[in-house]
Amino acid sequence: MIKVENLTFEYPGIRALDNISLGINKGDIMALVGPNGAGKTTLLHCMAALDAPLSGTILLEGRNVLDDPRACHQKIGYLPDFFGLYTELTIRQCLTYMAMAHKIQPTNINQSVIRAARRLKIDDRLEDKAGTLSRGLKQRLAIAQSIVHEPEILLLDEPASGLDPEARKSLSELFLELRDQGMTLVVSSHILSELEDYCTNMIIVRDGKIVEHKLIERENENLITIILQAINEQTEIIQILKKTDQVSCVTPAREGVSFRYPGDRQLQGRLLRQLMEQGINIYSFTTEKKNMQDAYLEQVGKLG
Amino acid sequence: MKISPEFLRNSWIEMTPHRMIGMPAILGGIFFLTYLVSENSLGLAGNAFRTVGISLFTLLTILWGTKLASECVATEIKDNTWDLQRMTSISPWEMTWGKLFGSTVFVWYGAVFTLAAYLYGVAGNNPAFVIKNILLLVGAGILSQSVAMLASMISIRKNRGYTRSTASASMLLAIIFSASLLGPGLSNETSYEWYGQYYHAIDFILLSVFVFCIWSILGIYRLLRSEFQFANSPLVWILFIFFAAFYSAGFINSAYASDEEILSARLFVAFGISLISAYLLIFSEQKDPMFIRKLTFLAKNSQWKLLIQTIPGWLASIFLATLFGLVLLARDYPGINLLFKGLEMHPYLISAILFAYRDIALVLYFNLDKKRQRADMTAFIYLAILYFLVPGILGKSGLSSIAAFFVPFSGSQIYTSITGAGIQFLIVLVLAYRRWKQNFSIVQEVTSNF
Repeated sequence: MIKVENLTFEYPGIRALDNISLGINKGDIMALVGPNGAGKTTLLHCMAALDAPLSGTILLEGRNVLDDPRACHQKIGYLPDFFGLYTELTIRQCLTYMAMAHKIQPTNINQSVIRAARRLKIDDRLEDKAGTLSRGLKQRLAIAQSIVHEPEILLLDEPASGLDPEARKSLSELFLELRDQGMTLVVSSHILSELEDYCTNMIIVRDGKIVEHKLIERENENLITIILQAINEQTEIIQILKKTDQVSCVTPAREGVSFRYPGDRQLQGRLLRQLMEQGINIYSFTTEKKNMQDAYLEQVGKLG
Repeated sequence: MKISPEFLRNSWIEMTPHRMIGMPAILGGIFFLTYLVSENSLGLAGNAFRTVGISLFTLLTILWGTKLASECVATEIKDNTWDLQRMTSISPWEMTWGKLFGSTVFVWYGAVFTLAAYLYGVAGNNPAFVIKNILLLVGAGILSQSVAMLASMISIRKNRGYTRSTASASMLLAIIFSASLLGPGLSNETSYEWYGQYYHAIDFILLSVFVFCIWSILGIYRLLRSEFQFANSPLVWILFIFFAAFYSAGFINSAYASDEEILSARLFVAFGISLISAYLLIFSEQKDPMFIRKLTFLAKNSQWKLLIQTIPGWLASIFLATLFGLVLLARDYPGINLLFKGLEMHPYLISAILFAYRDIALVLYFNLDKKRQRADMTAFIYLAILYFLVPGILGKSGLSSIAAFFVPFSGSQIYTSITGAGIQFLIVLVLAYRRWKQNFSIVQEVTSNF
């Protein structure tokens, strides 16, 4: 859906993005993580056709975004880190303006406004002025403004910053809802723990380069790592596991054995039963959940 | 007809019921007071209505309107809503009209009442003259507002930071420009000679105002295109320089000079306009080292189309000045007697071009510093020192032959000026190149931090 090819962006004397290439598929929720100044916002700005890079291209459905930025904006929604609102306008006016600005047919504008407001649960406050809203509601309005035209891709720069835990949770639910409705999301954030609730991929950006692009492991999806601890000898357990279907990457672990196995819970139950029937006295069978934060810190640690 | 969303948004903010009632109420009060001062006589109040109407119109459209127009994009940037607008599908044309007339919709609302009072005041006058005057007033309002918005946007392109002084400077520039164009305007008596033809002043100014309105609105449109990441060709700027040269050269007329002499003088005006625009733009346009890096990158990679689209206005202007200068140098004609009696202009032209090259190189040199926050101001001060202080001290110390090194038009020592300008240009160019190599030719990687 989006293909970034050899993107280089420079500020005076500084290379903010250094020959970055990446691809984002339809339906992905891509987490863009990295320390301050890594180049996340610059990358989002380039993807939104708000800044022109020194070199490289960004293709949206095969078309360079800078060839016709306004056409590309009909397909992209963007929530900047420091967003502003027209505080003197009501929520309805803010959304109507954005709907008109995105060339929604006049007959559909009201419907689009209501739909965006409902999605963000602000439809009961349509006549409230933006300036009177709380921080969380302002954030909701800003997101509603960026999705009022039903973009195919939504770019969000630190969308949860300044929100309370409850608002963050409902934001996570919203992102999953939008993904389920066919939207592709790119979310830049520092709060890694919440990203793992909804992200499918993670890109770690550091010093203007992509240092890691990985798929987020989910239960019932892909392979997961299981740590098995039993009274039996480690070598005996390894031998049995190596002969077991769908088991891979069997390695000794502290006080047990670790191996890769499908995330499906029914399969895991069957494996447990099978191993016990084969005489392994299991006292611990746990899935190793390496969260995004661990993965990120591990990667950052590798780089020193 | 589709209404521009930007115009509508501005109307929602500007045209609140309170303000819509307040404006006519206040204006009505002022006109009622005018009536009372005119001894309660509608007949006597006519003249006063005309004067008060024009004054209030000027106050609203030219003072208040230019302020609003100069601030309309700057406040979006300050309030973090500009990226929101840049992310929409509003075209640069829609945004131009929406912002220019949307941000000033309230002052135009008030202006309608003042024009109505003016019309009452001039009832019975020649209708053609009245219509022309009204068109001139409206044109002057639009011109000053569009020039203010244009100037403020040029400043924003150079530096995103919004300051009140930027808005005030844009406003002042717009008012001075409009006032100078209007000149002896609102009279039907004076006339202008333009390319040998005589025109009524009001007709000529009216046409000039509307043509310059079109150019300034076109300028805003092009700057908005750049803001929206559309490529712009420098062709329009070149056309504007040609237009400005053509327009100004039309005032060079003489019944006694030959056609060749008039042509030389007109070409000299074109040369002067290109040179002035190069100076104006080198100080007002973006000279970000990254911008220069982009130019060199595109040249190295033979991306000629993009390179031409990226060429800055000052470069196009100095190129045109050089071109006009070369044409003048190539003309085998003894001087431009119409403008400078009996002076051999060729060495002066060479001197002017070389000094302009030196000055542009000097501005670039300061802009290539790593700490370049006040680069333009520093360059301006250095130029003032080079043009006034140094030759002044040398001249008063009896070293006028050396002082000619720093003065472009030094009379009998013009060849010293040419040598001085050439040497200084080369020195500054080498310094600028070395600074470029040192600071920006090799970029550093970012250092991210937690």
